[in-house]
Amino acid sequence: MSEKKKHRGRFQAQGDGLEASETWNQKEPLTKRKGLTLLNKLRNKLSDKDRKLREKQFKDAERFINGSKGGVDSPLRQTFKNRKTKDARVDIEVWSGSAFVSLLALILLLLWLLQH
Amino acid sequence: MATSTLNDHPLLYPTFLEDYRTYHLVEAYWRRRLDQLLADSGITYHAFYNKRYANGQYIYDANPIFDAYFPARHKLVRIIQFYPESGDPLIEAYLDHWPVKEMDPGKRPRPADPSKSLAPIPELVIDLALTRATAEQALQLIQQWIVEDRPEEEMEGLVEEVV
Repeated sequence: MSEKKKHRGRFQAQGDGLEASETWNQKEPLTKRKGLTLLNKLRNKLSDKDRKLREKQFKDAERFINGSKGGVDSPLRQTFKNRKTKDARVDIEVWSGSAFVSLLALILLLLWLLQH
Repeated sequence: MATSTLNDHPLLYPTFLEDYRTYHLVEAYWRRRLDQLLADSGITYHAFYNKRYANGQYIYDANPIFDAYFPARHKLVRIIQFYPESGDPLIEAYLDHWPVKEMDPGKRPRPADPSKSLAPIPELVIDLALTRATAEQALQLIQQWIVEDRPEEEMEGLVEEVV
């Protein structure tokens, strides 16, 4: 990852021999929409087998993103584990700043910052 | 405390995901059990992860139900509690890491050994349905990880034995 910007984190699929991730590193908080896009990008990176092992866990991660009220601040870690396997799971990690804000909230924040 | 039976393993606080009062009772339960475990060791801890939405509302999903950072050890413990479905193992555990270098500098923890300030924090993650037996197994793992300060390589094996 290059220069560290204010809002950083990653989605990770790991366990059962897999480790894959999608990170973000940006000046504005990650929106829900972009978060869902990155999560889906991670999902599509996986082999069919690895994706199937984590299908419900990806849905749980989506539900968390969509349900975040006003977003979430760091540090945050959510783990969604497939309990029918040894340790196949999907993690959400918010390392710094905020994530999963609504687009409207982000626009309002940017307008406020421009005025101050 | 109310219990209900699931395959002969009575769950403690079975309504923890259904009502906020019980949820907070479970959080207090873990704090109390950890305080008892650490009573003679002098080891202190504090919460690490954020458990609220940005609007201030609490995240009542027990993911995690309890977490602690131990400055003397520069280690984390995170407990995820769930309501089991039939056939689910009642407890599992594994090791992970948290990347301190990626954090807001103002939010980074302060280890007792300053040379570890930017080192990733090794983390014991325990995923369990709460029964008397799984609570004891979890505390045994925490005893080994924190009080006895077992190294990661050894913990990998110990986790396999207990769960």
